[in-house]
Parts: sequence; C-alpha cells; structure tokens
Amino acid sequence: MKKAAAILLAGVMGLGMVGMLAGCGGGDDNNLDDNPNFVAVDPFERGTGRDDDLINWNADTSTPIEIQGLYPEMGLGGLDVNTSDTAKIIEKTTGYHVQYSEIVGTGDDQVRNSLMNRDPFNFMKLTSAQFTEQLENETFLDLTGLLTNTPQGRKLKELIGLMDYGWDSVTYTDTKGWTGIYAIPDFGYCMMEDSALIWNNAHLKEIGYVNEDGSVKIPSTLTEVTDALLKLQTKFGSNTNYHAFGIGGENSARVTPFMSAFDCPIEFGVDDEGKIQLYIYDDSVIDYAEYMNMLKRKSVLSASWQNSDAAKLCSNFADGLYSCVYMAYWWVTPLINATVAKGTLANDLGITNDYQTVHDDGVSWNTRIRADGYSWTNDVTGVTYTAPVHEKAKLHGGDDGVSYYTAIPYYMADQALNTIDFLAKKLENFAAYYGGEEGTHWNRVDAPAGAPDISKWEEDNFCMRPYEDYKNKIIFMDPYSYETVDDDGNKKTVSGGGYWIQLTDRYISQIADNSQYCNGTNRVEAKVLFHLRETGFDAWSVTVPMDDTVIRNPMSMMPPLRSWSNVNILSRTKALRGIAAAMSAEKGNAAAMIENTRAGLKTDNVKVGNTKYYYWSDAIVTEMTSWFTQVKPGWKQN
Amino acid sequence: MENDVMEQEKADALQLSAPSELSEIEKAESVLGIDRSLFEEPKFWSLQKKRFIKYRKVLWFIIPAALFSLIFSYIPMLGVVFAFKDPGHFNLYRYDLWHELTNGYWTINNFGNIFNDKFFVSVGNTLLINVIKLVICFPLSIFIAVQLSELKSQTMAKVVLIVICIPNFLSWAVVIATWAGLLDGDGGALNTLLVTLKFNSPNHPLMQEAGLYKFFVIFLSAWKGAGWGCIMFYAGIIAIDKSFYESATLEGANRLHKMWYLTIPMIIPTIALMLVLNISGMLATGLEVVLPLFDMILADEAQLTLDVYLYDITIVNQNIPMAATLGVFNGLVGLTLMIVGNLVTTKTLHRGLW
Repeated sequence: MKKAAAILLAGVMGLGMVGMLAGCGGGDDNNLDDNPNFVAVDPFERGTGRDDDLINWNADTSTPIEIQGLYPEMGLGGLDVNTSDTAKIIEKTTGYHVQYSEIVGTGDDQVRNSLMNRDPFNFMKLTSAQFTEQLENETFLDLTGLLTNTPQGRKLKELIGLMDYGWDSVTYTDTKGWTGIYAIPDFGYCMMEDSALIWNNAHLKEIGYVNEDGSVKIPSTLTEVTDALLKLQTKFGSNTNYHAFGIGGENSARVTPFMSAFDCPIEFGVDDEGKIQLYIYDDSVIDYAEYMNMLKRKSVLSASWQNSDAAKLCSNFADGLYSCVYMAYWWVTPLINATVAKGTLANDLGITNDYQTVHDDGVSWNTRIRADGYSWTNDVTGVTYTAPVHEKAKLHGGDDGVSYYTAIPYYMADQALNTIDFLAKKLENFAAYYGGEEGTHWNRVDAPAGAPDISKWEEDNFCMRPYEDYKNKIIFMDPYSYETVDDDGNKKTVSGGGYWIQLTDRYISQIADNSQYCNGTNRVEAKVLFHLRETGFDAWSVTVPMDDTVIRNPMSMMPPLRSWSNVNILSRTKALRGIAAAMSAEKGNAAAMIENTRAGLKTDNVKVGNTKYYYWSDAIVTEMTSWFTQVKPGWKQN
Repeated sequence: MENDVMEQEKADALQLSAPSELSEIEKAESVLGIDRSLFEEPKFWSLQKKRFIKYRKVLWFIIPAALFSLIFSYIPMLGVVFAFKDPGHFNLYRYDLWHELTNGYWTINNFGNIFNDKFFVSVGNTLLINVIKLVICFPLSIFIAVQLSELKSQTMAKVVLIVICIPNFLSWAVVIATWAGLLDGDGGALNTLLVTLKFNSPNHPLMQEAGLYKFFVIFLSAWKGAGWGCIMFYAGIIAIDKSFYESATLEGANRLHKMWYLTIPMIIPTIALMLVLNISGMLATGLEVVLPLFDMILADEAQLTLDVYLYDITIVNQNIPMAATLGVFNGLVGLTLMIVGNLVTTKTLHRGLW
C-alpha cells in the first residue's frame, strides 16, 4: 500500500516537474505589440468567400423553407415571439415561416454551446462580443460570395446601403490572412440618448426647485444637479433606506449625462497623439469617478447601487426612496405605472393619480447636464477637482455603430442561399413589420393643432422631431423614397410617409418593442420609422441631431480587429468594473483605483493558442488607430 | 478401438490419483457423515457465484450508483486525452471530435502553461478557504452531533436535527439570495439591525465587500452544511452501545468525561473517514457557491478560486485542452491528498479508508 502511494506521489510530482519544464521552454508568449493586424482589404472586390464550396448554389429558393432563427431576448413581455403581429407580418411578406428561439439574458455561454452542438439555426443574431469571439474559430460562414454573386445577396447589400467603410464592421482578416464578410449588420443611423435622469417633481419642490410661475425647476447644470441631490439627501436622508440618486447596477456605471459633462468618452477616445484609447485612459474619467464617489460617500448614491436593477429603481422611486433615477426610455412606462400604483407622488403634489397626469406633471427628465465649472474637494485626499465649462450641454456617444450581427453558422451552408433569400425579402419588407400596418397599427390623421408647418421641414434634420404628441400618439412620418430592384433585377422605387399618423393601442402592444426581430437595417425606412417607436414609448425624444454638442464614438462601425476581438468582452468588463469600484471606493481613493484598473488592463491577458492577448495593448491601439485614420480622416474629439 | 484406449487411460489415471486406503481421520469423517468440502476454502468464482445468488436483490440497489459513476466519472475520464492537445490547433466549433483527435498537434506544454499567476492565486485562495473550513466547519459538525446526542429528549434532538438540516436542501442560489436580501444595504433586515447596533456603517453593504468574499464562502458553507454534516457523526453516536455509558456512570464518569473518553473515541472511525474525504476535496470549493457569490460580491481576480478559474477556462474561454489539463492536475492532487490523508489518519487515529 505504502509502495503504491509512494509511486503515485512520485508520479504526480514528476508530472508537475515535466509540466513546469515544458512551460518554461514552450510558452510562445507572442504578444502582438509590433504586429498590427488590420488589413484594409475589400472582399467584395475579390467576390468569393472562404466557404463557397460548402454552399449549395443551386438551392431552390422558389419554395420557402422553414427558417430557424436564434435571437437575443426579445423583451416582448407577455407576447409569444412566434405568434406576435410582427412574426405574422414577416411570414406574410416574405413567405417564410420562421421558428424564433431566444437567447436567455446575455447568453454568451448559450451561443457557444449552441454552436459547438451544431444546433441547426439558419442564422444567429448576436452581440458584438458573441460575434467577434468566434471569428478566429471559423464558425461563421463567409458571406462574401453570397452577397456578391447572387441576386438575393446583392439586393440585401443594396438595401442595407452602408457607407463606404460600413462593411468593415463585419469584415475580418484571420490569422491565415483570409479576409471575409461574416455577418449582416444591424446599425444605428442616428445618435441616441436612450437614458436620462428622471426626477420626482414633488421632492424637487420640497427643496425649493420651483420656477417663478410655480412650476418645477429641473436642475440642468452640474452645479444645480449636485446641489439638488445633496439637498434632497439632507432633506430625506433621515430614512437610512433613502438615497437621492439611483443607478440600476454595475452595467449602468457609466452615467452618460455626468460622463458627458466631464467630457469623458463613453467607449473610445482619441488622445493628444491622435491614437485611439479605451475610455478609461482619458484623464476626465478620474474626475467623473471622483465625482460619483463623492456622491456615494455622501449617501446620495446607495452603496448597494452595483447590485441594483431597473425594477428596483422603479419600486424605490415609487416608494419615494429615490428622488432621481438614471434609466432607459423603455423603463419610463413601468416607472410611471409603479408610481401610480403607489400613489405617493400624486398625493404629495396634489394631482390626480392617473398615468397621464403623473407622466406629465409628476416626473421630469433631463438627458444632458451642462458642465459649468463645478468644483469640489475630496475630503480624504484633499485634491480639488473642477469640471469643465461647456456653453451647451454635450453628449458623448457610446454606440459602436453596429448593435447586432446576423451570422450564418458554417454548418448551415447548404441552406445559406435560402437564408439570404429570406433576409433580403425581410429587409425589402422592413417597413411593414418594423412600423406595423396601416389600419391596424396606425392610421393617417390630420395635422394636430399647434403643429409646425411640415413643408418647411428639412429632411436632413431627420434626427430631430418637429413635433410629437406623446399623449395622443400623433407623429409626422417623414416622406421617404429610394430605389431598389425587384426579383427580376429591374429597378423599382419604394416610397412612403409624408403624412401625420396616430398610433393605435395595438401598435403599442405589438410593434413598439419589436426591434429584436430585425436582421439588418433598411437604411432609409429605419430612420423614418424609428420615430414612431419613441412616440410609443412615451419618454423623451431619443434621437438627437448631429449638432456641435454631439461627439460620436470615433470607433463607431469599427471592424472586428483581431487583437481586440479576443479580449473585447473581458476588457470592457474589467474597465466597467474598475469604474464601478472607483465609484464605490470606501476611502475616497477613486483616482488610485482607476489607475490600478488602467495598469491591470495592460497586464491581464488571455492566451489563445500560443498568443497572449492583453486586455489593452499597443497592438490594439495600433490596429484601431490604423483603421480610424484610414476611414475617418479629420475626425475631431470635441 | 481408439475410444477403448482412452477409457482405459482415464480409468488408470483415476486409480493413480485415488488413495490406496482411507486414513483414520477420513474413516471417522465418513462414519460421522462430515462433508469435508465444507472445510475447504471455496474456489474464487464459485464463491462469487454464491454471493451473487445470495445478494442478488441487493445488487439492484448498486446498479444505479454504478451506472452513475460510469457515466459521470469514468467515461468523462476519456477526456484526459485533451490535456495533451495543442490549444492553438483545437477547434471543436469548426471541426468534429474525431478530426481534433487525429490531426496530430500533441503537446505536454499544457502542464507547464497552467502554472501562471491566476493558477497560483486561485490555488492559494482555494487552499485557504478549505483549510479554514476544515478547521472550523468540520469540528462544528462533530460538536453539533455530540450536543444533539446529549439532549435528554430524543424528540427535541430530532426536531433540532431536522431544522438545522433544512438549509442543506436549499439551492445555493436561494441561500445566497436570501443572505444578500438580509444584508442588503437598502433595507436588509439584518443589515438594519447591524447598523442599529453600530456593527456596520449605514452605507456599507457587507455582501459587496470584496474583502469578505472568503468569509462568506466559509460562513455560508458552514450555515448550509453544518447540520447535514453532523448526521454521519450523530448516527455513529446513537449506535454506541448504551451499556458503555451505564458502565462509565458506575465508574463515576460525569457527562463531560463520557463525552470526551467515550463518545468521541467511539466515532473516531467516522471522523477518520470524513476527514479523509474532506482532505481529498481540498482543491474544490464548489462552483455552485463560489461562482454566484463571486458575481454577487463583485469579487476581483485576487479572490479567484480554482473552481471559478476552471469555469473561466472551460466555459468563458472554451479552452478545452487547458481545462482538461487543469482537471487532470486537480484529480491527481486530490488523489494524492486522499492517500496522504489516509496515511495520516491511519497513523494518528488508527483508522483509515483502507
């Protein structure tokens, strides 16, 4: 027995020694610092795809097959994704019956397992992280040949109609040097302010934020906002469960109105040398983190904010335990409903406790805060911080251009032509399902009283609404017109809009939340029909014009760069957690924690094969800067 | 003709092997009708056959456990081979298993590559957590079992045992969510009490304090498992012959004496068994507790444990060769610890697994 044990121990130790020796000699820790991978290649010029030999080019597209689609969580509430109006319209207009499956939550593991199991999905609609991490695995079909050599593919490409570099976002050059197009992109067509600070009007009145006419004065500058939050905390803070400001969890650590007030980039910034840097490396992030840390240490921000969520924000706001919450426009309706159900706010204000009155008079919101040089001192370190001075409130954009990627697993190549046919038909009928049907989901109405003269409206201002009647759900649908080709390849003109419409209740219940049904974006129809959506959501005007106060993410529409793809999700998570940790820092050492995170991003790495990919490295900076300088010359940060 | 010769040879052989005459003992045996074969050691296979027939009904109970072990413990061991595949040429997304097993690219470097910073941090944290659990939770179960056995009312003992076993039947998600709710910085009942008693500051949620991650792993493990863990010891105690205690009473032993000199020594075999099993699991902290707690408490990489690290490699990074390598390493270390633990308990407690 003892002999056997001794042999086993010797074996384990021997194996360990061999392993350690092997590790010493065999670890080819190539980092990519001197090896930029971005290669400016247009695969459309080549016209062939890596996986062309797997594709059944003679597939019969005249008879629609059943399509299996994997989608992100649809968020349709009680609606069945397979029987909603949207699903029915898609089937009616394309002829294809689709079986919809949803990814639960973020679902990265679900996607990986599904791909490894070869689940027979004709396509998968994925997030950037889910898409990019698979590119080196060659999991997705190279669509170059399909988009170039088939009428369906060409139509799809034309309807998406991206700008010159737009297809870069789905173009990848792998380690073998092959450049291909691996997805159909859903892209943004306008800057959006999807989240805002929502205030309890009764509480604002109690601390004296009242205009001369008796209406509530909404804090709009950084000084006013800070003053209001601190006064609210003093006023109601005797209840230890009360906090003036609520944020819905760690993923909301980047409070855009505050970050923009400090001139923080939301995703990527350009440094003094013109190089792309992750937002956390911008100096302004320390000011932001110190500011939020100050709010937290004064109990304005709950210490439990990292484990909170939007549902908790709604209930605490309704209970009067938060006076101001930061949340997205699609949460406005649940927030108002919860507040009405409680009745406290209406009672405090002496207004009727119904949805519309509370919506109109009980709450206020602002999407931007104007920086006015507000200054404060960290009472632990003694360092004084000062916010910049902005003439107009600014907005830094965090969108990366492409929100979702529709990719076809390589093992479904035999049905790929049918899938592309379906996607093209779907994009051709984009308006029908994205905006709903006239007579069912909206009706034409006369211009409402007080509406401006639409004839003077310039189409270029499509991101700004001339007039929206949220209460009656009346909006002007911009006129649109574009040319495409029919099934026989003949040119045809598609047009619509140019009239006032009123949304029906069925639009609200069936169509307003249907964004996740999209696969690819019809560039013309999407920008017109989105405005119906924001009217339906009963919040603020989400889309914003590209004026001088809007700063876009310099890396919007960025391609899936090799050095970044492998660490994309890890790096973003670490940076976000670093910001959150700095905001929550107990000892007022927010700046030090940001510095720690910056250092950690440069040392933490993931090893893929024999290559180490650092969370943030010179290789990433070089790759990103290379693409950025090529496609966006003359871009300015501020 | 040929058959006749063979028959004759057989008869000669029998005659040669047969005793020329019976011994006195054999005669006596024959007279008394004693079957000599009863005293002979039965042959191995005939013994197995007899046992099989005798215990055939009991075997039905073993089959599920055997199948379970086969499917979930032995068949997965075939995956050990992945530990020797080069991760740079291992892609189950694009290629099937057979292709990956036959495409070459074998390496032993994986066993070197697992020894990185994260590995050492996670091994250190795992060992620290498990050593503390062994020092605190393990004796706690024995202590509870002994205390239960000292209760005069057996009914009360059973009620208490059932109550303290209830947490064991809750899933870890429920346990963590329950404690997170109790300690929530915004209105958590226990947190409010702690704040009122000045044990915690108002704006300081304990379950978000990364430094308390190990504490909560240990505390929640003890809270959830102590009751269940004491069952084995309690069963061992109630099986002790009551006459021993009566004798000890006559000898003048008080309750403490009986507890120390009688109860605990009598359950030493159980303690030894459980100790060896606990020691063999020193590199496991239980993913179901550490992972949700890791996320809940917003722990960073300094709090990494081996289970979380292995989860990251396997599920997040999908690096199957490295995961297999770490699995092999864990298995071998676990086996070694079990053998060492068995040697130690055999030496010190004179009891072991074998």
